[in-house]
Amino acid sequence: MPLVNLTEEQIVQLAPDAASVKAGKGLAAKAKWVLLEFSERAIWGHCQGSGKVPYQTVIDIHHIAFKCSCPSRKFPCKHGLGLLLLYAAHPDFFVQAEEPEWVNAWLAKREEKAEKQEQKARQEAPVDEAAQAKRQAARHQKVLHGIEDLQMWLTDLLRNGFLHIPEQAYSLFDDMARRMVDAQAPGLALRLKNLQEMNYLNESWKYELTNRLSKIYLLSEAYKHLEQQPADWQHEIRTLIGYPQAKEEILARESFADYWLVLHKRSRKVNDLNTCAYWLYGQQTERFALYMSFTAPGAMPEQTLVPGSIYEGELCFYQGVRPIRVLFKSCRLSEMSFLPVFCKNLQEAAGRYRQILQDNPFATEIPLLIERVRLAQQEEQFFLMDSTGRAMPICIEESIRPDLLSITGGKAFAVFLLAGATTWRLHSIWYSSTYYFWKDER
Amino acid sequence: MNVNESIINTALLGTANREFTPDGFPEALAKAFPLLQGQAGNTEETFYRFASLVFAYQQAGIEPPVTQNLEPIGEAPEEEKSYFPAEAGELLVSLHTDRSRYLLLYAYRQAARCNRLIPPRYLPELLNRAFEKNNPTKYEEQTLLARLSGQRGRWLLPQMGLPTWNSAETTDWSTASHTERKEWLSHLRETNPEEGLRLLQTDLKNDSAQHREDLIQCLAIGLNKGDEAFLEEIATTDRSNGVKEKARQLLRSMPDSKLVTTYCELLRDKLHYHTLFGWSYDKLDYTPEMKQLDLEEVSSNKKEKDELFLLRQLAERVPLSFWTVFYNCTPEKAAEKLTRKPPFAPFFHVQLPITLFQDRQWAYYTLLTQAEEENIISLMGLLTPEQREDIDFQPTRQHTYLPASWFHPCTNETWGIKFSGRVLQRILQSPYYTRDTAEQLALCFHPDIKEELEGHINLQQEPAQASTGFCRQILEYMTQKEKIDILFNDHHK
Repeated sequence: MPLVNLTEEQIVQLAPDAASVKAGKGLAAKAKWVLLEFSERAIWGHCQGSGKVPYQTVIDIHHIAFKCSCPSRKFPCKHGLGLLLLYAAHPDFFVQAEEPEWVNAWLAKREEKAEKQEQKARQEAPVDEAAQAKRQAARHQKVLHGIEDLQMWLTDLLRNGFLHIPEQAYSLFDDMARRMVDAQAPGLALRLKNLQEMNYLNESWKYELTNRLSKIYLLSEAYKHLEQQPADWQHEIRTLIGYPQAKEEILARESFADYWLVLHKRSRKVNDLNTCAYWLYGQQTERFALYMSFTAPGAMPEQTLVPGSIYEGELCFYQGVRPIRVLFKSCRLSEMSFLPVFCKNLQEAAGRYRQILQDNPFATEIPLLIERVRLAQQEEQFFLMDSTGRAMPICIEESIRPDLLSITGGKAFAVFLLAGATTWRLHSIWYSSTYYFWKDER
Repeated sequence: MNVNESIINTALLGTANREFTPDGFPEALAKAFPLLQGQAGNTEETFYRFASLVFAYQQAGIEPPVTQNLEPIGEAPEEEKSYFPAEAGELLVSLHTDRSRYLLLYAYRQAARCNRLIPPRYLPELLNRAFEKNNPTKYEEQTLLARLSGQRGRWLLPQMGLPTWNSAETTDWSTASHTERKEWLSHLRETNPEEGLRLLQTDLKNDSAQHREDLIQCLAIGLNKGDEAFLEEIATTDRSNGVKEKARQLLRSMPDSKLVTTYCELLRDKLHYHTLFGWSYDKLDYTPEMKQLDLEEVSSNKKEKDELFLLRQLAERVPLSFWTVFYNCTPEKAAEKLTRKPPFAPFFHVQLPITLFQDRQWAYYTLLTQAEEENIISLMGLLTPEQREDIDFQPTRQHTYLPASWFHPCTNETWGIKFSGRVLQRILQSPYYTRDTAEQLALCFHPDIKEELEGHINLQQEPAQASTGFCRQILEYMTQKEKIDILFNDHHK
C-alpha cells in the first residue's frame, strides 16, 4: 500500500478555503463513497453526490495532484480533499485494484506532460553570464530610475504634510507601488502597499507613518549608494528592495542542523498566492528562523509545518545583516519535545529587541520569547507585566484574549510575540508547559 | 512615544508650511543634524534622513517602564472538580460550530450528570454562544454551563463582558424585551414555577394586551394549584377579553380547578348511556352565568343542536375521573368505552380533553383502543417510550407528518425499537427532509435502528435519493450521540 505521509493539518493546507475544509472533512467517511481503491500510483473513488452518476475522484499520490468529475470550480474540490483525508486516516478502507481507464488516462497524461517539461529543461541553453550581467545592470538602472521617482514623490508628500493622508490612504500609495513594480523593486512596492493597510484610526498612526516613510526613503538612499556598503549590507539592501536570492546559492551556504520548534504560523492570501510564514526556534542553536512558503492554489507546499511541532532539519540562512529568513535543506517531523529558552523578564526581552534594532534598523518583526508574564489592562490597552513590575503595551487580537484568560485563569504564562516598531503582538503562549496557538489566517 | 514632537508636527503640517529645527534632541542626535544637512540636497531629504535616525535611536533604546498604577488581571479561584478530557471540549465546540443545537444540549445534559467540568480552553466559545441574543436555547444552556464551567467560567464571564450566571441579579425584568421576558419566564417556570409567577405579577398590568396574553401563556409550563388564584383574578378583572380567555383556558386545563369542578357538576346526571339504545341527554338550559364559564350558546355547526352543543362543550372539558364515575369502572375501561362509543358523535373529539389535561394514561388507553391518525398525531407525544411501543400504527404515504410534540428533548428519552422503526418507515414516505429532524431523530432513535438505516441506504436503487442522504445524516448524528455518551461519563479518562 503506498504511503501518503501527510497529516490532517497538512492536507487541510491544500484546501482553497475554510468551506472546502469543512465539506472535505464531511466527505472523509466511508459511507460517502461507493468505491475506494488504490494502486501504486494513485488512489481513487466514487463519491455519491446529488446527481445520478457518482463523481470520479483520483489523486496522484507521488506528486500530490487531484482530478474530479464534479463541476466545482474550487481546486482541489471537497471530494479530492475528502478522499485524501480518508486515505490518510484509514488506508485500510481502500482495496488494491487495477487502474481503471479514466485513472490510467489521467496519470498517463500527467506523465507525458512531466516528460515534456523535463525534455525542455534538458534542452535549455547554458547560462550566458555576459547576458546575465547585462540584465542585472539593466535592472539596476531600472531600480535607480524608479527610486528617483519615488524620492521625488516622497519629497512632495512631505512638503504638503501628512495630515490628510488618512483620508486618501485607500488609493494614495497605489500608483507609486505600481511604479515600483514596473521598476522591478517589489520590496519597495510592498512597503508602500503596507502603508495602505495601516490602522489610521489608531492615535499612533502619525508616528508609524512618519517612521515607515522615512525608512522607505532611507532604504532608497541606501540602494543608491549600494557599492559603498559592506557585503552583508549589500545583500540586505538588495533583498529589501526586492531582489531574489537564488535558492541554490542559499542552500550552498553553511547549514544549521537542529531540532526546530514551530512557534507561529501566519497565512495570507496575496494575489491568489498562499503565503505562509513560519517562525521557528532551534533547540541547540537558540536561533530564531523564518521560513516562507508560497504556493499557488491547489499546489502542494514544499513544507507544511504544524505550530507547536518539532522538526529535525538543516536550515540555511539567507544572506544579509542578522538574517532570519531560511530555506530547508532537510526536514522531518520529530517526536521529541522541548521548551525554548525564554527571556527571564521584559527587561531582558527589551535588551534583545534593542540589540537587533541597533544591528539592523530595517528589522520589522522581531521574535521574542518571555516567561512568567501576566496580562494587565488599563482602559482599552493591554499590557504584559512581569514579576519585577515592569510592563509593555501589547497588541492582542480580540478573539485571543478570552481564550488566553480562559487557559491561564489570570496566572503567569510564557509568551511568543513579534515586536514591531510601535506594537508588540502576542501570538502563542505556554501555560503549564503546554503550548497554545491561535490561527493567524487571512 | 518619546520621539520629539517637533518631527511629527513638521511631518503633519509639511515642510512647505513649517521649517524643521532640531530643538530638544539628545546631544548625539542634535550633532548629527548639521552633518545630514550638509550631505542632503534639500530640506525634505534632510528631514527624512534625520527622522529615520531619530526613530532608530528611539526604538533601539526602548525600555519597559515600571508602572505604579497598573495591576495584572486577578487570578481565577481554584477548581475542586476534575475536568473532562480535551476531546470532550473539542466535541462541544464542534457541535457548536456545526450548529447541532439538539446534540449540544444533549451533550450538556449528559455532562451535567457527571461530577466534572469542561476544560477551560473551550469555554469562551461556549459561553459566548450561551449569551447570544438569537440563541433559542440560551437559558437552558446558561443553566447547564453554570454547573459545567465551574469557577473558571464564573471568573471568565465579566472578563468577557458577559453577565454573571444569576440572571435574576443582572437581568432586569423591567428593561428586558418582550421576547426575552417570554424566554426568561418559560425557563423559570420549568425550574421554579413559584418564582416565575412572582416575576410575572410584578409588572403585568403595564404591558399591552397581546404581551399579557403571551406572558400568561407561559404559565402553562409547570401549571399548578398555586397559580389558580392569580388566574381567576385575571379571568375576572383583566381589561382585555383575550387575556381573560387565556386565563380561563389555563384554568380549564387544571383538572382540580374550581372551573373544571363546576363543569363536572353541570354535566353530571345530564348524560345517559344504554348498551342497546346508546346515548341520551337531559336538557340543560343556557344561563347568563354560563357565559362567564366560557360556554357558548349557539353551535357554529348547523347540523348540531344547540342544546347538545352546550353539553358537548362540557363533555370536552371534564377529566377522565368524571367518566370513571359515569361508567362506574376503571379509568382504562372508561377510556376505552368513551373512545369506542363517544357521546355527541360525530362532533365529540376525545383528543380535546386529553390534550387539555395532558393526561398521559388517558392518551395511552385511547391509543390502545383506537390508533387512528388523528389520535396518533395529537396524543402520541404524551406517552412514555415504553407506552409508545404498545401502539400499533402503520405508516402510509398520506401520513408522513412528525409532530414536534413527539420529541421530548428535555428528558433525553430514547424510543423503543418498535416505535423507532415505525417512525422511520413513516418519515421515509415523505419527500421532504430537514437537518433538524435528522438531529432530533438521531437523539430519540433506538441504537438498534442503525441496522435498518444502513439497510435502507444499501437497498436504494437510486443512491442520490433524498431519503438516502437523510438516513446517512441520521447515522452520522447517531454516531455523534454515541461519542457524547462515551465522553461525558465519569469513568471516561
